Amino acid sequence: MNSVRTVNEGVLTNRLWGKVWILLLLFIGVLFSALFSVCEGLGNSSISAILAAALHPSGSQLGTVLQEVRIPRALIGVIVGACLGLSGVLLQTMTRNRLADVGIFGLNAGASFAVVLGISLFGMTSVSALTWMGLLGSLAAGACVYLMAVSAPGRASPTTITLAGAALTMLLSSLTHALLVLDQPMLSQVLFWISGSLAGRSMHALLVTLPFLAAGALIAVGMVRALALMEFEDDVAEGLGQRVLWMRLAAGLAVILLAGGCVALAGPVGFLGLMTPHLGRWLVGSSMPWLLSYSACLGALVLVWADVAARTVLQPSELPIGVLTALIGAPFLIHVARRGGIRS
Amino acid sequence: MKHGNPPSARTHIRPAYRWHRFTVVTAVLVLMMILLFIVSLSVGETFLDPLELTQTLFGSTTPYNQLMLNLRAPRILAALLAGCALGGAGAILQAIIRNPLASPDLLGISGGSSAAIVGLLLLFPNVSVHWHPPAALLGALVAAILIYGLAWRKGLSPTRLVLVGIAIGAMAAALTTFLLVASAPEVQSRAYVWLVGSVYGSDWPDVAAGLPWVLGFGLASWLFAQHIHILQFSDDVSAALGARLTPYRVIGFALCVGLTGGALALGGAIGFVGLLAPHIARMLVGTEFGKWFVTSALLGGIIVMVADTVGRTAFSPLDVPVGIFTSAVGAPFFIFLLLRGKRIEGRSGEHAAR
Repeated sequence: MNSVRTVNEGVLTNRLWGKVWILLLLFIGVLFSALFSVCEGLGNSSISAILAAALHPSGSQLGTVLQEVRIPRALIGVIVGACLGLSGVLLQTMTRNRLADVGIFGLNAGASFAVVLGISLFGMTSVSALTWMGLLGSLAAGACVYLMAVSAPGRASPTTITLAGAALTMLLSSLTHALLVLDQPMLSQVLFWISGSLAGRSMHALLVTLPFLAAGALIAVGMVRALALMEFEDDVAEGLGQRVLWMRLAAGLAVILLAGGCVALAGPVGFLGLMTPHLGRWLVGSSMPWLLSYSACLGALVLVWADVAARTVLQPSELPIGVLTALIGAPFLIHVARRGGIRS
Repeated sequence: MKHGNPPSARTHIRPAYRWHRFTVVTAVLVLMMILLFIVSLSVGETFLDPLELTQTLFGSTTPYNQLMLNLRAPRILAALLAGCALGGAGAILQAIIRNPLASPDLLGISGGSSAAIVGLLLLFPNVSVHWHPPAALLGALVAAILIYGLAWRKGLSPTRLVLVGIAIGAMAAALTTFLLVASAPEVQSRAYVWLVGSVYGSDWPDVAAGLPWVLGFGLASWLFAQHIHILQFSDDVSAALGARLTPYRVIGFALCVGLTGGALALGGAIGFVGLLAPHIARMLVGTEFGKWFVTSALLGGIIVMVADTVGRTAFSPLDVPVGIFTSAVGAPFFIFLLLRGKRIEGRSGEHAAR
């Protein structure tokens, strides 16, 4: 298609200070949400007592709970949310497909299938092994979707790719279910990997996964300018001096690092990566540095609150967080579909 | 012949040839179905002599075989019925959406049924199986109404329908997981097997509960076939042919929902059958809807029956749920179709921006 892209404008596009202030506000919002997530449901301990216990976790019960459970959980929520927000922007930009999401494209399903495979067939238990499995899985699924996209005659439309992703997801999740049906005792142990949750993840898991996520995020930030050009058609981008193939490979690598790392850390969390770029674009338009930072902040914010809801709604049992993000995020898919403009 | 295009004029010019071909195809399929039914009755942990079995079917009682019949026959029949219903539902959906890639499961209709049944199992663990089909139907209906309503915007575009369907399917899956987590462990594992699509442990009451729904809606669809056939043309043409588009489409959708609900109550979420069967059927008999529907239903039944027999016997003592087989075959096939350049954009003018 050789249409001329008009610059996407958001509510705040022409207000520099507005963008700065709102971003600051979002950032503070993330901090407070994380703080709330840490403190929520700790009985009647005062904030100062919690802070004291957090700073000097010398054996007190509260300190242990904070250190072992609450703080890692809130941190993981923030980091996974931000990474998914970033990956959504990357994926939607590099595929020029407003429906792109690591969940919709089947990357999550690939990663969770690989992780379940690792647990059931190879008896893996260590976090780092599972992280690698998650990365491999999302890499394989991503490669499948990419091959589908390039091998379609002409160029596959966003809807075609979305459908291919949906089919891939169905296939992989039925294979995952197959492993589970054959190994029923494992079910409760890995139900987590099927629907995503922040429950019971340790600081250790975060530390193991962090390098992958950080690498992905760094690549994303490093190629901000190139990303802005990837919004154009390939020949235009080439004319502007981009090495399109390399850029696409780099962006793909970043997406896979982010998505695989997130699955290893929190299980498959769908639709967050679809939702936040749309929200961000509504606010700041498609100016890439802003969009990336807004999307990351929004992702963190949504995920932390989704997590708070996940553990309070059904007390004492806990809801998988993927359930909540799907319930919040799927309407965005409907919105995009209804608006008709699948491409921006 | 291009699939997915409106039925070619040839169908109308040479009906004799088509009818002849349809008769042959149907006869072969029915024969295959009976043979495969007997084969799958006889294979299993204990092999039963097919000849003896046939005699048992016709009255002469041998206690041993009788027992086997009570264990195996209902399961095979459940698979058969579920498959027929899914094949039929898929054909209806592909016809009214004019999209060879549509199927009840990809469009989220099955997802609604799944959520409803898991909800039923959770709320009333001891409810009689006779409540499963209505519950599945209700779930499918709610999902279908949501999909239809949300995709409606000055008309119905196939692209929008598909995307909204995927979204509703995802929400239904989330809801199902929600219910699953909220329920007791024994309900969990029961619902779980069911979610993958399995006819494991079906007995005569199950079959009896599902049978009227599948037969009723199947018959209704067949009677309504003529009208669905017209919907395959572009809107202008169908309107010119005197079809009242919206009512016909709504009725077609309702029939599809009924069949899907029946199938899900019988066999759980058996994936991709509603996609595979109509495709093969279209290659065999073309797109004249009456014939297409019947062939697709027969094929669906055969596919699920064979898949279940393989799942039951090939990995013995493991009993692999049938839905895993159909997905493992169906998903790659679907992707292949997608990549062969099937446009999912319909002819209603709406299309993805590229």
